[in-house]
Amino acid sequence: MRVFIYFFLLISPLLAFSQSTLSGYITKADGSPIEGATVTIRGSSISSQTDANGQYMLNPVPANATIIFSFIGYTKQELMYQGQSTMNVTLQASTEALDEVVVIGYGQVKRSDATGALSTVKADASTRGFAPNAQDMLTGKAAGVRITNAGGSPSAGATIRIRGGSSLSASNDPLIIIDGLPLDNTGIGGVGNFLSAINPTDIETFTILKDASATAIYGSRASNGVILITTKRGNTGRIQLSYDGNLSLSTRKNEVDVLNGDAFRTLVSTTFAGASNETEVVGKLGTANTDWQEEIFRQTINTEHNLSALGSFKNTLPYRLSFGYTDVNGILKTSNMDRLTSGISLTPSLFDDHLQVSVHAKGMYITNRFANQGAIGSAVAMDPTQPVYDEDSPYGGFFSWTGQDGALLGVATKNPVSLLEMANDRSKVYNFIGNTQLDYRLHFLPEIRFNLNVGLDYSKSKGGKYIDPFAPSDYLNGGFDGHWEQERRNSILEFYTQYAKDFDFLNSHFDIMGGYSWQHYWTAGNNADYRITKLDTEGNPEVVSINNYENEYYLVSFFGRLNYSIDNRYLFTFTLRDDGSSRFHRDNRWGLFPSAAFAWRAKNEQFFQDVKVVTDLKLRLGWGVTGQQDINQGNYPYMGRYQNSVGEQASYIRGYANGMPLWGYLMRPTSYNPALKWESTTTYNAGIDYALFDNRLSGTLDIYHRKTKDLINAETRTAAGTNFSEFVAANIGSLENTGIEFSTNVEILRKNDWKLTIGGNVAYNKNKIVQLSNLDGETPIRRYGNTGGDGGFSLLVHSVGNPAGMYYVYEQIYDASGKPIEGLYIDRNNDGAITEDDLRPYKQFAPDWTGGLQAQLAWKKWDLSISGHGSLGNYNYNAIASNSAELDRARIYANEFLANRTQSALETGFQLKQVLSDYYVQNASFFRIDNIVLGRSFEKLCNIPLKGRIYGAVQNSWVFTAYKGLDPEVEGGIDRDFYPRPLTVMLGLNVNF
Amino acid sequence: MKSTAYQWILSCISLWACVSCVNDLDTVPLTNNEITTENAWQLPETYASFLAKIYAGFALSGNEGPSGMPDIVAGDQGEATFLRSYWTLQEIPTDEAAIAWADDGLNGLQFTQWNSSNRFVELNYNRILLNIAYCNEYLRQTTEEQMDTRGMTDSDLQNQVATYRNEVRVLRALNYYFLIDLYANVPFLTEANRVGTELPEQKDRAFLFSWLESELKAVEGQLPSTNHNNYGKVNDATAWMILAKLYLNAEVYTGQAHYTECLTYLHKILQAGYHLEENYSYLFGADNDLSNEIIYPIVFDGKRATTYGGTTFLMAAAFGSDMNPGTNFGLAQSWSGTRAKESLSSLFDDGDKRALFWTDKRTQETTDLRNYNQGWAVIKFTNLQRNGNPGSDNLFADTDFPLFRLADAYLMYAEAVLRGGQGGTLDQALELVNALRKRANASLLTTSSQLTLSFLLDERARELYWEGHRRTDLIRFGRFTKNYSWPWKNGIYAGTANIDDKYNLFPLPASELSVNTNLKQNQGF
Repeated sequence: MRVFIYFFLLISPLLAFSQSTLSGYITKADGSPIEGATVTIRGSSISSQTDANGQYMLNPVPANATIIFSFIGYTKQELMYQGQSTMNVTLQASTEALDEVVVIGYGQVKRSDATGALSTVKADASTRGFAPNAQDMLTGKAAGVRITNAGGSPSAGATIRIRGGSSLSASNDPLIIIDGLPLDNTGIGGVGNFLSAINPTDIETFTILKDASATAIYGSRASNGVILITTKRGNTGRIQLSYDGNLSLSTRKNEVDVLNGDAFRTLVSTTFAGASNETEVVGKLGTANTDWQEEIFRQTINTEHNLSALGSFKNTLPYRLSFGYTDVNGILKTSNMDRLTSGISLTPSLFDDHLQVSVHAKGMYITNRFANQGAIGSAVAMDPTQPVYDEDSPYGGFFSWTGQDGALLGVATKNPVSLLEMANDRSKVYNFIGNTQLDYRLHFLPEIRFNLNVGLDYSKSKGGKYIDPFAPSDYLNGGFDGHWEQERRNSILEFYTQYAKDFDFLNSHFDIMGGYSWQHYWTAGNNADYRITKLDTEGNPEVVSINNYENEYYLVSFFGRLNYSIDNRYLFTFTLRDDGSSRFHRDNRWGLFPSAAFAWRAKNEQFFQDVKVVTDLKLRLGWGVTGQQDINQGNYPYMGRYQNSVGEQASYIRGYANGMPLWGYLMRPTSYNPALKWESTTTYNAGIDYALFDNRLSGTLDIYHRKTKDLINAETRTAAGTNFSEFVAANIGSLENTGIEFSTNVEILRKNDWKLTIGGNVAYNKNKIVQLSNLDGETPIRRYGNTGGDGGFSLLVHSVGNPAGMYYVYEQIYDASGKPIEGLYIDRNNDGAITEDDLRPYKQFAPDWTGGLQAQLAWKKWDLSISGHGSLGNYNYNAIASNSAELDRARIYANEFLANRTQSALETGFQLKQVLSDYYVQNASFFRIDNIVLGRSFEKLCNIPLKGRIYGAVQNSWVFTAYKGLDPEVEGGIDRDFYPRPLTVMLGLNVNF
Repeated sequence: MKSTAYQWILSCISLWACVSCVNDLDTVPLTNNEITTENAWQLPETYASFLAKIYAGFALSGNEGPSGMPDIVAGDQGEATFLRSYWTLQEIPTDEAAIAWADDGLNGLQFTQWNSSNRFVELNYNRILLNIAYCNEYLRQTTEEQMDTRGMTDSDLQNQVATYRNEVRVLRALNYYFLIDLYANVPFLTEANRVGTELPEQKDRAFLFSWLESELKAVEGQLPSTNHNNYGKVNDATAWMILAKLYLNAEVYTGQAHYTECLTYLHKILQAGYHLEENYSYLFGADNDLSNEIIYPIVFDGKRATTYGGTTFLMAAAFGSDMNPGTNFGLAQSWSGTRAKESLSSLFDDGDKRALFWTDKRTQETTDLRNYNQGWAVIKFTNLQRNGNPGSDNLFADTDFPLFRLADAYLMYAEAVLRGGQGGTLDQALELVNALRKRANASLLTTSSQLTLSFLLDERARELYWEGHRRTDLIRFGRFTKNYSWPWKNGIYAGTANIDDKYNLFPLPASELSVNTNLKQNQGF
């Protein structure tokens, strides 16, 4: 057979101008043949596959054809056919780990050349389950990146932490940049999650910059990591339309274990048996059996529709147009989010590719209805023997507690359903995010490139809250009718130039970049809140508060980067950024943030070339300093200012005139600290990027140590009387994070029609506060957080030598059967009394270990993926259990109403609640199965040639945890009034034409 | 050549752009809710409104009612007000009040077992010193030189400001008076100290005593006159009252008796034109600003000066929902917390109109501290006007708090005479005490031998209970840490007569000691 082919190949030049045959071998870099590789001719349907020897044959091959050689996992090659009879090709292995281009700060680089620690997550539609918000696609996918949403609310914001937090008082949120436009982390009024402006189906990749050598180029905002979001672009070629929609059903998974009506009746009768007020108390019991949690939650249906058009106008203007509609109804009654998004992206390349223009614009219109989450806590406490509705009740027809005289009890538990249905808290937000980037490579000197980026983030929101004057929650106050508005305008102008050159000396490549950035953040807003039935002295609805605000800040920076590589083996990177912020006094305004990194591409060394097992190996070392100026003390903390009082209710009398009192408003000076300056974090990072077994096993390993100094402590105590507040923001303190991150991706099976890939990441982070004040020898502590309920106690503490945010609790003593003994704690200082001195730091809410796991299985046209994430070592404070644990008569019946108890209250048997016992600090380590997605791709639908995929997904199907509360994943650790995460079952369709 | 020219032009443009943009970093607040210091003092209104803030330092919690824009960081802004924290420190650890709540810090006070991390101590201490910081700032910024430099040369304004400055000095003295009584050894700051930098020195009672004397005597006679048009402002009588209290307690503060000087100033007060209110309960109602007996009030208003501390707290904490407080007392809030211990409620004769208690469904004994229904509820403070109409708001009280009133001066007179002060007579003392008892419809004293110190201590409870005097009185009479037991003293219902003398003082907050290394803690803490 082979002889025949050779013979044909020999005479093929004679046949060149008519029909011809092309054949050859496709091999890997090491010479072994690739079986099953595809060879096609562009624009034709002729194709061939290589056999077990790697040989292919194409016939006929038209003249001047482009032959494309491809195989999954290898870089495609396209070669011009020039009439030869043989084309042997060697394909290079490529996966995400190597030649893919990643976006870094101010530029792009091949992954293999990157010197910093970065993770890339592709927004893969086939594994995406129910993900109405952008950050839902990142959960568990990147090592060291922990994403916790605030609960199951449709407008829930999410907390993103990269390598633990590096601040105590300043923000711990990473910087998020979309197509080159940084977003303002302070969020948009009326929107719970500021990432909701971006439709997740528009996202192409997330690049997460973790260590300082990668982030220092962003200087003052980069101490907590940077997330770069790149959206999908247009493509040359014909237009591609795509529809991606889904329908999902969400339902509640579990509920807090409270007593039901019968059990509560029994509890009350036995507790008050023989009490002096027994008749009164037992008389207050109702006859119903209401499951209040059942009454406030519901099953809901959500839907999403996304349409996009991708193409290239006249083949010169690639564009992408997209529209999306999302409607998510929360499982807590009345909560809802409706969102319309649209986006356009134009990326023409002009002047023979010398000028790249990208224009991106995204618009979002969102309407929210926020449900009062107090209803959740109310449902746990509400007496289950009472009915939801009461015909005789003047309070909206809802059962409400009234006193002897028939008047509404102000301190009693409010009917949870009334809290939801008699209040309407809504917002409407318009948001526009857009930027234009011009990248110009000089014609006469193509080594020089200029880049200009101009962007705007504009939003206008308004909303209001209306509480019916007959609502039990606000009847005594006279209802509530409030309106607010907010306008935000953030703009950025950035300009940089880059010069790149290759030298023969040591086969080096050198590029240097220098730039300037100007950013302006401006916000203005106002609110006017009134009562409805309560009138002021003139007969108008009484004012609750009227306020207006306007503030702004500027950031001006100069930055530069130098890259030098020797022989593609030794890579050096240096960056420097000088940032000025208007938030600090002139003398402290500028901060200099340098970084240096070194990478060794070990695989390119001579002695490594023969090591077949290792496909790629790169060692990285990085050091850098980044800053933090997202303090929470407003935009003018260094300046002495005087503030007027707001509203009528803060005034004082200045005597009388003509019998009328003279009320004057108040003016006060605010505390200030002119010496306030940046926090700065220094990071040391060492990492290995590896790819083994022909790229079937790849991943990274990173070890880091970060130290934050000049920590802004917003509650730095001043000596009493020396300033106008007992706290001032000052740079006092330092803290450290040390950790290790490991991620891996394994292609277990790739044979015939089967493909199985498993990926996972795990990270360990240890946090420690090194200093909290500038007094040596002191071990100061700072208490904060609240156990909740009436008369709450400070629960958390920052203390030197310990991780930030530990619980500050008493050490409980247990009896022989393991039951806690009420009020009996270890007397740590042996003074015979249990006082604040016996509290100690115990466990923390931030986890030690975090990780994620993804598995993807594909067979022919079917695909199945499972993803999950988890954490180890995080502890929650079960505030629901702790605040409910009081069985004393005077606590069950106080102020003429009855309050329900949880099962845990009966288990502990405490008469008075013991909120500071470490019994309630419970291990909340967990592993959650986030998404299980099963899909089937198709080439035609009912005989119409449409390509697409139909899929079903289940989100939040299972959580493995020992935690006794509702949900172990609570940001901040204090489990109280938590909006539960639903179980969602989804059916989706994606069609492309 | 072309390339370098282009590059040069481009860099010039960007440099110029850079320089002009760098100036953007000098920002100032954009709204007129917030103004820089210099701009503030160039507005004539500031001189009056900052003064109003200093007055409000005893009443409100912040710059937006009832709990917004707080001055002090606290979970409960009501507790962060002066009156509520002061009242808690002066009444809860005594034989007068019992509280059912177990909020952080309350047990320590109720059982007379507090330590330096007590939350109410910290809140009260910080509030008083913040008031002093405001006073000092006012005096720093309103000197004649400062006003001239700023162009505020209008002579009317300058004359007004001269009086304002004297008012501020009295308010500062009043704040230091509370410090000397509660904490004794405190940091001392005047307008001579600069903001933020140095750590203040600690001064003892002896120093503070003589400083207060000189301060108050210096402004005597230059304060607003005593008439209804100056309601709410400090006046000569206020300054005299502070001096009288200093002198009455001088033995406690300095070890030396000054009862004669005390009587000198009491005489001045008695001749200042105040009269006893005919009906005792009118002194504590929504329109008690009409009273001629109150010497210095802390002013509240249901619409204009609202807070969760103040008289709203005094009422709401005392009311239970079964009392129908909205209808009966004009305030529809019932927090079911405070009530009278039997050591207070049993002091009254039948028919004494000062015994304003709610006894329905209540026991007189407070055997179960946590049960609000044990102990008679105190309905002395109400939000009802004289004619029975409720105050302007059903959630926040109009009632002002009588910090100093004439009846107190009467009892102080009697006490100073009994303790050996010169310049007063026993007959006069008897007359004054009987005037109070007549008003209260209580039996009159017939002979001066019935007028003993022990009787006076009880009479002070009968007349002035719930008004924030009790702890100071018990200490002066030597009955706070020794020789007197009351329910729950030292943590047990039966009480303990003798406890450690360190409890005659409150400690400096532990948080303050960790910051100001010049300070030494009070002995025993």
